[in-house]
Amino acid sequence: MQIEVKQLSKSFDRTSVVSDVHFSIRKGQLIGLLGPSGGGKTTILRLLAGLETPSSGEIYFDGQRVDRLPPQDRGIGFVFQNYALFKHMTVSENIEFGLRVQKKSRAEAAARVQELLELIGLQELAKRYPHQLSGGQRQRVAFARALAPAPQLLLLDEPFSAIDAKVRKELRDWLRDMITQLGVTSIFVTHDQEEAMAVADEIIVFNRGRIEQQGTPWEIFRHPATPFVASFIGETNAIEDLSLLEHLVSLDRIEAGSKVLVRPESIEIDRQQELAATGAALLGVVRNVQFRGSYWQVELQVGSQQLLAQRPLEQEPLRPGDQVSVILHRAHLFAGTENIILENSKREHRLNEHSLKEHSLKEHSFA
Amino acid sequence: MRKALIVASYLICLLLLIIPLIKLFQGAGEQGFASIWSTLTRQDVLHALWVTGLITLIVTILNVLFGVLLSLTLARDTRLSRRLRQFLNSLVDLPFAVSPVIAGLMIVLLLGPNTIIGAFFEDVGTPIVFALPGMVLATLFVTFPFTVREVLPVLQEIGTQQEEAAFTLGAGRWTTFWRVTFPSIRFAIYYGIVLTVARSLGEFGAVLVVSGNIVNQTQTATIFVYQEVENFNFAAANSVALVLALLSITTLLLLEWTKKRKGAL
Repeated sequence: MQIEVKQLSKSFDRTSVVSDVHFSIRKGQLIGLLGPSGGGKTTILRLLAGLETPSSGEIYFDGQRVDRLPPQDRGIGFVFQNYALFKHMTVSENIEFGLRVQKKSRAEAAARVQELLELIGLQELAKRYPHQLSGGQRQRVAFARALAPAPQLLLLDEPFSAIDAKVRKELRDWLRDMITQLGVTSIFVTHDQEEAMAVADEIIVFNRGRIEQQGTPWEIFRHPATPFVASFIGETNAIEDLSLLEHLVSLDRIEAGSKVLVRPESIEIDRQQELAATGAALLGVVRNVQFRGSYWQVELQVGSQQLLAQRPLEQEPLRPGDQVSVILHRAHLFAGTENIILENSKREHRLNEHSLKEHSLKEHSFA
Repeated sequence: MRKALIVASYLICLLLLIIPLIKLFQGAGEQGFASIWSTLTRQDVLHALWVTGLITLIVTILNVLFGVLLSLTLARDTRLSRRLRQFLNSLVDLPFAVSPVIAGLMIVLLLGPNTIIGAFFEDVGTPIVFALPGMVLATLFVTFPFTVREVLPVLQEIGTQQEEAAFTLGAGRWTTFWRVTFPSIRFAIYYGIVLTVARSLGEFGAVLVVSGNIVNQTQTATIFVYQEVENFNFAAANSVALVLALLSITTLLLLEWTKKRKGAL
């Protein structure tokens, strides 16, 4: 189902929760609504489902206006954060509910329930009650129940938040595959940027009831449109000491009141003087080093500025107090509504040389 | 110290609850079964028991119906402002605070034969006060909180998500109530019914004021007991009291059973 939302607003008791939201979603897409808790994501989902009435604005499903329709008539499936399974019904009765409401015959409903039980792989638990299932199993049942009446749009509210970390990843991939396989347009709400990145075709970043940015995960990561997006997606360093940027941009180009952010992964650290030789490096001191599973997180002090950086595990570990040279490869400059990506030109040069070298090596091996 | 307190509480329980009950059965036993039977088959006794039963039946049905509806309104109707719902919610407890006798008096003052409303109903041919409708109203007033106080917390606890899930699956409000909400509040309703029945059987003060105590017309079982005691006819009082006590014990056992079922769910 193709979805179009125009000027959608919702306030509760004069508190605005969603204000003037526009977006459109193409058929078959898997969309992540990403934002901090209390940002209005769940309200958007409930507005789409018809569980809340908008204060103003319009919602179109396949060109048809639906914002005044009750949830029963919207042809949607909704997976609640705590699954909201009917606790006095068995797994198969839960899945059957939507079909019986549609006045499907017993035989037809039973066949569909069987099909869905196979899809979620819980055939042998069909007679269990929700309280006899694990979190992941409940999630699957809620998913099957929502899909049973063949909805055109599937809405999922924080679908993985109540599941422990290990199962979450498995279930996430499973759900992604299911949705892709079925081709049903889906929107899920999450506050976990990693989850949104891993699952969604497109992400809509929400903050304080407004859309900050809509785009593919890569676009959003690479070209954040606002300081909020830049700081919410991945970790960032806000640069207060602008002299750090002298290798990236002539300082007089930076207007007062603009904001500069640098991602930890855009910071390179070296103990030898190799980097310093390029003339693009700053001098700093290591304050703290933390092991983070797949990388070292290094706290640096460069002049008056504190920076968080990442260092690959294969590189020699650093110790607090080490004198290092630091290169900022990339910074995001936000001035008013404009945002500019600053690249370290000297470093760029070096990178090119490096890749050229690699290139020729490859050619060599071919020969 | 702790042991002494435990023993004391058992003693109080024995003194206040068990011994009187035993005494009641003993008194009835001394009279012999034939005497009890002859009292219970007296026309006025049968009528008093019938009136009590009828009031209990009508009150229980109305109480459950309106109790569930009010609980649903208080818990779910977001069209009413939160403040109004809080006000209504505290109003529900009013019968707990007002003495039943005063409740009965309020009904007489409002609907008695000398009032406008009362006179109107008198003319239509269905007098309210000193007749069954008034007694039902009085009992309804006294028992009103029971269903609401049982059902409302359960409704609040289960939340709205299961109902919303049913809506998104295409179920209307009626289907959702019967297939999703009702199974969750079922035992709370049963519990409310048991409490209402127990209280309706035993209600005395409010009904006494409203009924006028007309033998073979508006006399209930409790009022009969009261009157026979006044007349020093302890044998008759004891027989009817025995019936009421047996009914109470049965309801009590039912109460325990529903409590267990409620806890299990």
